[in-house]
Amino acid sequence: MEVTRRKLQLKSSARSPAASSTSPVLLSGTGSSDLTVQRCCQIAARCGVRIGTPLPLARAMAPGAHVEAFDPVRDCRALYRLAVWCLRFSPLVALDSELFNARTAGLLSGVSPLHYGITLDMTGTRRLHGDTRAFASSFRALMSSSARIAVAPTLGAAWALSRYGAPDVPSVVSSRDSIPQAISLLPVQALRVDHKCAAALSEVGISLIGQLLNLPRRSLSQRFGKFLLYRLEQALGAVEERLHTIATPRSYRMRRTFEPPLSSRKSVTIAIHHLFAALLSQLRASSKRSKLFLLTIHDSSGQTATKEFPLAAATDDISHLSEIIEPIVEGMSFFGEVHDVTLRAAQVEDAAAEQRSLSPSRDTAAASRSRAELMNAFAVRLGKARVSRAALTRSYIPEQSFAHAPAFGAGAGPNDSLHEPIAPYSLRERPSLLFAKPEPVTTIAMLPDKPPSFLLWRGKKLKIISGIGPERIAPEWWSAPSAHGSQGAGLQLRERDYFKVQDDSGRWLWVYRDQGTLEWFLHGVWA
Amino acid sequence: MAPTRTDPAIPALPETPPCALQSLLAQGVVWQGAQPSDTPLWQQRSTARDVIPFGAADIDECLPLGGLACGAVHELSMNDASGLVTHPFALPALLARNALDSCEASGASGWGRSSANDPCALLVVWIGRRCWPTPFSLPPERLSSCIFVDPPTEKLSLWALETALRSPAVKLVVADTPRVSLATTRRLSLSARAHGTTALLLKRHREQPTPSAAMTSWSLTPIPSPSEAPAWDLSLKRLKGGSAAVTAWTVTVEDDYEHGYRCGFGADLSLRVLPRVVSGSDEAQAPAQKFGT
Repeated sequence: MEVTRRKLQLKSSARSPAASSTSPVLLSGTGSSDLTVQRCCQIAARCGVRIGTPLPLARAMAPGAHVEAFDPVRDCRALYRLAVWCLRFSPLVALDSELFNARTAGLLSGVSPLHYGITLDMTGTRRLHGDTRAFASSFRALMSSSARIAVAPTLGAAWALSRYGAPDVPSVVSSRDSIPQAISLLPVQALRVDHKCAAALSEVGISLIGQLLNLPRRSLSQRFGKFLLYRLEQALGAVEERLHTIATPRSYRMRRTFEPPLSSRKSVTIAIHHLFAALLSQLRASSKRSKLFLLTIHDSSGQTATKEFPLAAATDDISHLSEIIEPIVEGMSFFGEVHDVTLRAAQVEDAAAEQRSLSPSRDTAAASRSRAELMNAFAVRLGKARVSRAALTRSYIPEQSFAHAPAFGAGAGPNDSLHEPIAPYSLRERPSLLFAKPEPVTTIAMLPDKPPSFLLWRGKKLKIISGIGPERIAPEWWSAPSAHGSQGAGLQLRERDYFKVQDDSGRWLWVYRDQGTLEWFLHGVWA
Repeated sequence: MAPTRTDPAIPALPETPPCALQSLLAQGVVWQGAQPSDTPLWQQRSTARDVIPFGAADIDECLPLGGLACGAVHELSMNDASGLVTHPFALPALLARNALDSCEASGASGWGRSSANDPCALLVVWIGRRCWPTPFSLPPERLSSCIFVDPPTEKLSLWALETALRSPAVKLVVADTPRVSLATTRRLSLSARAHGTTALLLKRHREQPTPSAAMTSWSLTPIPSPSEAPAWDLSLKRLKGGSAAVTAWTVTVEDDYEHGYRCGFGADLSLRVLPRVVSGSDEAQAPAQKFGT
C-alpha cells in the first residue's frame, strides 16, 4: 500500500493562529535567490498558484495569502513520525526511496512533493485487516482527505496509482495480472522516470504507460535507456524492488507481576531493585542509557503510585542507582499489597564509550562519574529545580546581574553566555549578601544626594556613622522605555542612587533611594 | 601506614617481615579503639593532609597545619549583636576560593590551570539558600565549580550535606545548619574524615555554645572598620586536640582595587589582619564621619 502526503507542513501552518481557515497558505523558499512557492494549499492552487511560481506573483494571484518559510527537514520529520505511527498496521513500513536517499544525503530541499510518501507492506495482513478495499477506505478516513492511497501487488504500480490515480477513492489492484490494465491510462511520469526520459518519450508521442506497454521491450531499452525499462518491469512485478523500511522504535520497559501480591515493603524494594538491574542490563546490551526512569506500582486497592527518577547524568551503575533510589522507594506511599511493578526508561540516549585516562591523578572519566553521581543523588532526592549554578548575566542592575540557573542544563555551562563581565564589580562595590527583594527602610537623609544618617529596618534603629556614594544605577534603556515616572513600571525599573553606609555596630549596608518615589530601600549587607 | 604497593622491579626489603596484625590494622580491618590522646587529631591520619588556608599569614601560622584542615568539620558562627545578619558570607566565599585554589595548586585537578568546565575540578557545594553568597564575592572562573543546593527541609539539608561530604568530587561543603546535634557533627566528621572532604557549618551565634565534634569553631563579630571594607573580629573558639597561640584577630576582606578592576569580581579578594583593637574602652573610638568621601 502506498500513501502519499504532500502537504505536511501546510497542515501545521494552516493550523497556526496567524492563518485563518479560508485564507490561502503558501510556503516559500528561504533563500534570497529562490523566492518561489515550494508548497501551496488547495485554495491557492485553485487560484492558479503552482510549485515554482514566483512568490510576488503568487501573492498577487492568491490575495491575503499566509506565507511561511518552507522547511523540508521538518516536513520529512513529520512524515517519519507518521510512518512510525503506521507501524501499527504493518510491521514493514518504508519511506519513499528517493526521499530516503535525499534524507540520508541531507539534500531534502530538491525533493519533489511527489516523493513524500509512505509504503506499507501489506503482505499477509489480510487476516488482520479483512478486505483490502475496505481497509484502504478506513485508512483514508483515518488520515485526511488530502492523503492519496493505492494498494497494488507491486510497489511501482502502487506508487503510480497513488500519485496519478483517482484522487478521492483509494485505488486497489488485487492481482498482478490486472496491473497493466490499471496503470495503462496513467502518464509515463507515474513510472518514476526523470524529466529527460519523459521529454524524450513525449517527442515521439508517447504520453501514457499503455502506449509504452504496446511497444516491444527490446527497442525501449535501446532508445530510452535501461532505466525506463527497469521502472516498467518494477511496476509490472518482473523486477523486485527494495523497501527502505524504518526501524521500530524500541521501548525499554520492565514489568513484574506478583502472584500472590507482595505485602512487605522490603520485598517491594527488592523487586524494584531487580527491575532496575534488569532494565539497566537491557539498556547496556543495546548500548543505550536513560536519564529518566518512570516507576509505576499497582496495589491491590486499585490505586497506582507513580514516581519519576530524573537523573542529572545517565548512568549504568546499579549500585549507585539503588543507593539513590532506595530512600525514595521507602518514602513512596502505596497501600495494601502490590500487584505489579512497571519500570520504564524514558529519554533513552546512546551511551558513548568513556575514554580512560592514563594518568591516575587526572582520571577524567572517574571524576566526571563521581560528579554525576553527586548530581544524580541531589536531582532524585531534591528535584532538579533545587540544584543550581550561579551565572553572571549582562546587566548592571544588581539583582539581575547574576542568575541561579538549574545545574542540569542542556549541556552548556552557565558561564558560556558571558565570557567578558560587563563591569568588574568587586566586593568593595557590591555586597556579599544581596536581598532578593530590596527591603523598604525608613530613613533620615538630606536631599538631594546625601547618604542617610538614620535607618529603621525591620523595626531596628540603625545609626549611620559614615557613607559613600551615591552611585546611580539606571535601568537599561532598551528594557524600560517608559520607566521614568510611569505608573506601570515596577520597582526595579527606576533610577536608583546607591549608598554604601556603615552603621554604628560596624556593618556596611547597601541602601538606595528610588529616584522615582524617593523611597529608601536596603538592598544588601557586607556580611 | 597504608600498605604501599612496591614496584615489581625493586625487590622488597626483607628487614621488616610483614606482621599480620599490623597489616590488618593498616587496612582498617581491626578497629584500634581510641587513638592515643597525646596525638592530636590532625596528625592521626597518616595520609598527607591538605589544608584550606585563610590566606593571611598571621592566622595560618597560628593554626597547627597552616589553615583549616581538610577532612574535618569546621564551624563558623556570626555573632551579630543586633541579629540582623545571621550568616557570614564573605569569609566562607573567601575560604571556598582558597579551597579551589589550593586543590588546583596541589595538582589534584591535574596539570596547570584547569578550565571552567574541567570535569576533574573539585566542587564547592553550598547547601541552604540562606547561606548562598552573591556571585560578586566569588571569582567568575570559580563559579562553575560551585553548586548551590536548596533543600526544602532541615532533614534533607543534613542529608545533602552528608551526601556531598561522601562524594569524591567535592572539596568543600558550606552549609547553613542552624541546629546540629553532637551526634550529627560526629557523624559528619567521620564522613569528612573518611572521604577527605571538608565541611564548613555556618551557625547562628548562641550564648551557650552547643556541644559539637567539629575540629575548629570560629566566631565572627562585625566591628567598625577604618576602611571601606567590612571588618570583623575573628576568634577561634575551639581547636580540637590542641591550642593556638593567638585565638583572636581583627580581619578585613579586601581586594586590591587596581588589580581588581582588571580581573573583576572577587578574583583578588584577600583576608587582611588588622592591628587588633582591644575591646572595651577602645570601642568608643569609632571612625570619624566620612560623609562625602
